[in-house]
Amino acid sequence: MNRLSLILPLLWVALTGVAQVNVSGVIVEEGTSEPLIGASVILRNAEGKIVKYAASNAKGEFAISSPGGVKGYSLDVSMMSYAKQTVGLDSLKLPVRIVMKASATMLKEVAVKAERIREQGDTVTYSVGSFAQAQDRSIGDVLKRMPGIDVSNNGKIKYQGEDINKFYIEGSDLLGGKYGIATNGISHDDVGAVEVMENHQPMQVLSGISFSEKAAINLKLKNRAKATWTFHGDAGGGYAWQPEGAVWDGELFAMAVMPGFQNITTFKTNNIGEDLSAHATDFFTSRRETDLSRYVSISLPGVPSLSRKRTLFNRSALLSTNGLWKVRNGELKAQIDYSFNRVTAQAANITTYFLENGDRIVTENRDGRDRSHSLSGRFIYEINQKTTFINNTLLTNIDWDDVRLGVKGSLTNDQSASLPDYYISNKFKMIKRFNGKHLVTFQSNNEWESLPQTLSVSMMGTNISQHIGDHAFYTHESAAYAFTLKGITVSLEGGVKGYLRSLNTELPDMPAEIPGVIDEVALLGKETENVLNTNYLTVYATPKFEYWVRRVNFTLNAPLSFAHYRFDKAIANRSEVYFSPALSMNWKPNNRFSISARGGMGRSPMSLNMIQPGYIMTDYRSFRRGVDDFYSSTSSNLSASFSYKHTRKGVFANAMVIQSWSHLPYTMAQQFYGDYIVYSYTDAKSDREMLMANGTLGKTLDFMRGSANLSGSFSRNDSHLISLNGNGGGSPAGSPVNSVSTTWRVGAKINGAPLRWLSFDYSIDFGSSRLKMNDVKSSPLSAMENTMLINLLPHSKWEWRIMGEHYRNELTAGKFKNVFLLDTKLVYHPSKRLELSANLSNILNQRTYNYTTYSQLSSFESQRWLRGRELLFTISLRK
Amino acid sequence: MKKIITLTATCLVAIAAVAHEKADIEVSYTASQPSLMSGKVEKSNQYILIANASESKFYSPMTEYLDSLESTPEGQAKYKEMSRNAFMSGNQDKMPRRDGRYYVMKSANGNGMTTYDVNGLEKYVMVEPMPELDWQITETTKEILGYECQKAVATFHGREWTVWFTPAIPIMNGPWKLGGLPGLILEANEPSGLYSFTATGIQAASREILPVYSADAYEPIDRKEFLKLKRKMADNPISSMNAQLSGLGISIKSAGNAMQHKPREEADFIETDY
Repeated sequence: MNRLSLILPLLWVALTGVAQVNVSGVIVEEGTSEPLIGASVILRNAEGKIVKYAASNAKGEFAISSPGGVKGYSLDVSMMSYAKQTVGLDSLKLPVRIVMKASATMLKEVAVKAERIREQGDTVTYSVGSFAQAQDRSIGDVLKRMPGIDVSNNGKIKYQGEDINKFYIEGSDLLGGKYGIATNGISHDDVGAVEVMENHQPMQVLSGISFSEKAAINLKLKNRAKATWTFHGDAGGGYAWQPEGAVWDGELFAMAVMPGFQNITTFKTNNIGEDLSAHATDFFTSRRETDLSRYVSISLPGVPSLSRKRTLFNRSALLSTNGLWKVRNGELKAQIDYSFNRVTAQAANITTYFLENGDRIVTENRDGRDRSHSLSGRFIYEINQKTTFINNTLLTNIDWDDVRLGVKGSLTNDQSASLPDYYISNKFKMIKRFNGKHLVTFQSNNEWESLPQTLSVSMMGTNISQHIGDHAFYTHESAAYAFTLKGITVSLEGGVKGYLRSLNTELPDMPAEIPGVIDEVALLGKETENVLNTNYLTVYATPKFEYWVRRVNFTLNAPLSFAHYRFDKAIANRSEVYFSPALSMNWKPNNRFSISARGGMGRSPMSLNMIQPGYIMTDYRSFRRGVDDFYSSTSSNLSASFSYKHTRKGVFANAMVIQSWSHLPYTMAQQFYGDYIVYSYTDAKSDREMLMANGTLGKTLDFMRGSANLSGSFSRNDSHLISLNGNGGGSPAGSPVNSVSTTWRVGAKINGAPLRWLSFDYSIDFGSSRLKMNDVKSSPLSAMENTMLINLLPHSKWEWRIMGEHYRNELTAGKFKNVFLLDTKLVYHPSKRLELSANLSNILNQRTYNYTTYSQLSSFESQRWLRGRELLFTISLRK
Repeated sequence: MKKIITLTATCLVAIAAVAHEKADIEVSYTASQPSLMSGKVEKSNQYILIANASESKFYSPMTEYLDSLESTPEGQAKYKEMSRNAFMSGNQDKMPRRDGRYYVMKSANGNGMTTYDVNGLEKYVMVEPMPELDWQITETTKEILGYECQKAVATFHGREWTVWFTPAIPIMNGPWKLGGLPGLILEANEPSGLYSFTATGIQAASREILPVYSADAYEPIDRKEFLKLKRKMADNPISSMNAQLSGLGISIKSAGNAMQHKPREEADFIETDY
């Protein structure tokens, strides 16, 4: 049998003609001298036409008989992964020995379409290799290129316009909402495919009972990244021209994905403007029910409409370790994060307040530093089975935030604030399913938070220090029963919520400009102190009706609650009834289309931190006073969304529109006393109306292994607000301000690899906003941003990248500010495990940036500083 | 004969035991085939060829995905759930469906060519030596996917195949059972126009060429015997189906001429030499 196959190549050749020459030989690999099997051997005549051909056999041998002699003939020997050899036969001794040199065979690649995006039932699978470009490193870089998937600047992932509800790695939910650690850390080389599971119901007990409009993402790792630890690390150092000095950027990433255990541990540090806090942000976190918010608000100047990496002067470090253990039928997870962030910022500002009797102008030069530490631990035990779901999550979080801000200008001063935050919560949930039709749920949530705030201001030789103590405890116990039959689910949830909060503030002194305070010393205490408790007890019932049959789902939710509030005589105690029904509908006629509509209305109580009879200083020139009465606001909203996909053609589209109305019985007012502003609430009604619409269209571009994306959005806000102007005495005179702000934006992105040695990314964004106040229209201000990246591969081991960013921002009507920033990077890969790179950013050394923005009642003109030219050398290693 | 079967079996076991070869290249093809009921081309299948110099596999990714699911108990459960969900939602688009049915594995290392195919519910495997086609290479060229391809003609298993191959990709392989030219075949068709293969994508690949899932479930058969069985099924579908289903205690009643197939002269299989 074996012998036969040896002779086979000989049989290709028919024996004809007279001047027959037998061309035979052996093909071996350079260096090893191993015979090469399956090499293609072509005998060409003088004109280059194929005369005969053969393949090398198991011993690397071939034999061709040439009927018309070999004068002028040549042999072409080729094989994948070896350089092609052409030898003339005129002066050759036979048999010939041909030595093949290893060399990458350059294929003109045309993406294998059948596998780029695949659809099976509710799962859409994207092949990572077919979307990755040479310049990509992490899986997050590649996700951005997949049509239908949208990754925002902070790392949050949306699929067809909706936030995802789970992020799995090989089917396990290791990171919860902190999936930024995975998307920024996991190398795209280790991921085979990204699966999107549409209408994903993460709790198995609810599968087939409760509809989910959200999708989940699962990373399917390549075999070599499974059942082992994978590591990679970068270390970079260099020099920056502004701020002048040394720069660094480093990362260590370790991952283990095993059947019973998963771990991701990462350490990152840099001072090159990369904000690490986004990497450990929990995108699934729900609002803290302790509902505390800082009164003190001194924040560093930021720069809108410019990439944060260009303007952030930081020193950051992040350490995160996340483990998952499969314990019998459940999972145990522990996530511990520590981050440190030191940010400095400078700004020169001119703020103009629009007032009825002439504008008011304040100049400021600000110079600040924010130093924050954050430590958090999350411990989760979960059982997720068809009949039982149990989850207990214990979360502890400690933040320390120290801010210093110096201001020179109209009011020279120095502010420093210490803003720590202590939070602990435990959330327990259990769902049991009986006979497939009955569901029983128990839930118990307990949260405690303390938010002390200290603000010290030194101004014109005087020092004021204010301390605020703010603590809250929240508990929520509930039980629910649901029954399902033939696609109809009826459920009733009932529960109790309790809330205890204490606020303690003291302000030693008040500026003399603010009237009615200093005059009566006896009353000073009352005006500058807050010692109160704001507590409530709520009993509620939520009937829910869900009808889910064939391709339609209807859900009606009608929470009804009774709440009793006690305010320690700060304002009168109160009992309220709230009812907030909501109806939603989803129709999915086939796998391509999905249409949803939602509507809701209801009343909600105001935030309890608005109750504050005494003044609180929020920064060196702003003071706040609370409400005199308890208010509830009413609101209603309508929204509709649609999505379409055609996976074979790689087309994804979605659009959404929301209209909402709200009515508040109070209005926030600002009042000037000299250089000071007092924010307070007045008993005036305010109405707001908001319209928002956005849409996205994505398409794969298979001819160049790329994709394109178009997006647009529009929003319109109508509000009715009171602006008051006091001139150091008398009753405040005010008139209503109606303002309408409209904003729209369009953007396009395209990327691809049209040539073997070239890949690129290009994006353009254009936006415009306009403010109209009391029928006086300000001219629209536009902003345009272009970014382009070109990656060249002149050689298989070298890459050269050129990146440009152009911003064109309208400062005032018709007056534009252009900024052009240029970067370049050279990368050398001596082996698969090692990469060396040199990065030169902001080559043109642009150092400043000017802009103007409008808020509701003011305009703001500013000069900010950019990161200057920066040279960074990096070495990257991977296992 | 017995010796050869034992030898082949040993070879197959040996292949299963050794480390799998890595592919160099991955090529997608659109394959057309006629409906035996209408005698016309109604739909096409997506196939992938993954190959290196000596080994290759030609398969439909969707079929392989479903076969892989059915090869494990967990996968079977998932498959059932997918089917049930699709059925419950009344959405036929979601029904998991196999694409092109056959697999062709070629090996230049003496294991020959193995074809896995189905006839109704029955699964068969056929082992043949590597075919030796008498290709007539012509000077006509055309460009496919950016590659200059040369035309070659040969008769194979009853049909006259015209193919376009490119010496620029030194893989002596092609779609289905075609190959043996000094370059990859990117397009193949035959005069009736019923069967054709057209490459739609080419990529470098480094994944392993894995064997067919649940390979033991396929019964060995001679190629021509298999074609005859298939013909019997086409000519008399109801009784053939009932014969296959009798073991399961199910029988189908004839529904008039709903399952009437075209005679052999009008629409035959891709191989007609049985």
